[in-house]
Amino acid sequence: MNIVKHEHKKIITSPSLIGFVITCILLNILLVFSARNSYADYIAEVSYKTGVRMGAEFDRQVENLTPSEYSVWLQMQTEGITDVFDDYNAKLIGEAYVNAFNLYGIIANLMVDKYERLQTVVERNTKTGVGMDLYFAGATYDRHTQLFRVIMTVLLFEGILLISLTMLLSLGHEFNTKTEFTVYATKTGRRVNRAKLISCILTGLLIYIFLSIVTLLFFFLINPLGAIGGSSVSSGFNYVHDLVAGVRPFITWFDLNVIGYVIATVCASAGVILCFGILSYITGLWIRNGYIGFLIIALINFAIFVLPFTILGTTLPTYFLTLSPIWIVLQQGVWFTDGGSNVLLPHFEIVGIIASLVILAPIATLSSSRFKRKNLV
Amino acid sequence: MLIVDNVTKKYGNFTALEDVSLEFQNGVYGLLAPNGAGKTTLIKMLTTLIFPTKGQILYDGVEITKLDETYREIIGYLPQDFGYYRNYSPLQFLIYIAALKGIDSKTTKEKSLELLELVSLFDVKDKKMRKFSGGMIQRVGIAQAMLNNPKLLILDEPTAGLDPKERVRFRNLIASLSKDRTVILSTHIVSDIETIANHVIMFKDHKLLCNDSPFALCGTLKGKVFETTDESEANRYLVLTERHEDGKSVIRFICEDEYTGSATAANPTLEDVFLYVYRETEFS
Repeated sequence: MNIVKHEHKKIITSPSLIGFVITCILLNILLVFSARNSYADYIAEVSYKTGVRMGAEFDRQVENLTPSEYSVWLQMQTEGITDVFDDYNAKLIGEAYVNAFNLYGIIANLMVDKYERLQTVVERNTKTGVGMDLYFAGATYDRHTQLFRVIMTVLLFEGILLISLTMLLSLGHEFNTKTEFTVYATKTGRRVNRAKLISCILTGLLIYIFLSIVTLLFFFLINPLGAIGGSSVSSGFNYVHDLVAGVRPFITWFDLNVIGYVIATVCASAGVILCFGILSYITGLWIRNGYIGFLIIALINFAIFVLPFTILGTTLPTYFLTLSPIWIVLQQGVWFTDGGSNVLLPHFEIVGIIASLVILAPIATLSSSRFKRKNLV
Repeated sequence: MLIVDNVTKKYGNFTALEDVSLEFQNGVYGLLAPNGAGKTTLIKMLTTLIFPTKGQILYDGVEITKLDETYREIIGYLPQDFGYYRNYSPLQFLIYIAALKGIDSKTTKEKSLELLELVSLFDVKDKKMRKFSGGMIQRVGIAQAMLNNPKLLILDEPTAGLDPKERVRFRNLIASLSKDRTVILSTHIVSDIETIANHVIMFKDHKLLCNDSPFALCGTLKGKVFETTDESEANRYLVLTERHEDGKSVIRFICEDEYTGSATAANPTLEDVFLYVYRETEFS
């Protein structure tokens, strides 16, 4: 533990890390300001009066609002609206994918099965009426995109960069400072890398959480949430653009409101960041130069990203690859939903993170064992 | 007791060290050989940084790789080209290394300060090491090697890059630290060890050449070393060194057969042995 503390101190006092975190905060603030939408702000403001579930009572409350351009918009968008999930058939999405991509065999079965299961969620949503939740009404897509596809994605990339660079530079630190022979000949010896792994993961995750809290607090300060935090993200106003199945509702497997979806996204992001941390640890044990190690990680992920498009097509290995950390990152906007045509399994982000950790953990152990026997010339 | 038992180290087709057997007891052992002879290879094997291709290294009868941290706990090591954290003070650095050596955190600071005093760095204990001279850095290196009061102190080229004054100071420091422990010191500079080493180990062509006391090694050249001011006389034999004395050039040479000339017999030194043994070696 004492060594973990020392390694942690080495990392957090590094000027490059401090500079990186400050740069991230400044970039995030800039992004937060670019997310301004006065209509969404108006909805957040009046949401305490109107409530977040549309219907007769909601309509009455909207009518009582001080007349303005935005109150008229809100009335137009919400009056007489019907539940998007009434008579909605999710199974048709699966069938559309099977036909569009000529899927067959186990792939087709899994795809169809996924949307059959989604249909049960649709039926649940019909009962609970979450499709009638206000979210940000006509500004929903814009605000949802800004928060979950811009801010949360940027935070995720920052977390990944942070943990990868921290891990690689920490593992390569003794090589760069020519202290590796001194360090590895001590009682702790090469086990010091275990302390580096723990301290880098703790540091990376804690800084990611810190960046998330600072950025999100700032986001909600500048772009108020009002009572909308309790509105379901599966509101009828939220939708997904799909080239095959067309525009369709945003359906999450679990019933998640906006705050819940933020927390779930932060947790899943932490899982993905952990995967990249372990991947960097493995790379760092094989390659002493942190910058070359980073380049190799980038190349590996690029290969995993392009392989399905270039060689594999709609085969089972493609769908396995879409469970890899980089694919999970690139699909962040549809986390906790069916994930569209790229994924076969429900809860793909959770399955992907767990599968990645299960695969990476023994590789990390083997790499550590190999490093213990490595000649340090 | 540390035993190197028929150890060979190969890197692909290149043999860095071939079939070396040695025994180390308490005392100072000087590994004396030109650069590239295999000193660092042996030292890295003794510190578990590299592993023998053949043979084994035993400490108290057990292979050191099996002893793992139990073995590393009793060694202190100053590598060749000792690296350090430029932004750390010597005290911070020693505290970090002490943690790696598993030294109780309660006694770490006290022990670090004591060693900084010993190596005359107490006054600069809180200064960043980036401004330290080569000699000061080497002294930090010695201090970190001594942190765990090692039974086995291994120093690889500890005087490299030091000026003559620092070198003498360093030699005295090593001599004072050599009591009740094994000190293995590698160097290609004869003066580093000739006064402090109990044993001198020499390698040639990546093989062990000799392992004996300086006195015994010098004895091998007894009656063969001569000095003369007559250049033509000296040039008939193997010239070792040349120095100026009273405005004249005094040439030291070796005659392997019975000498009948006018030169004066001289007492052989370790330097004579070194120059004689490595007479065909290009020194870097």
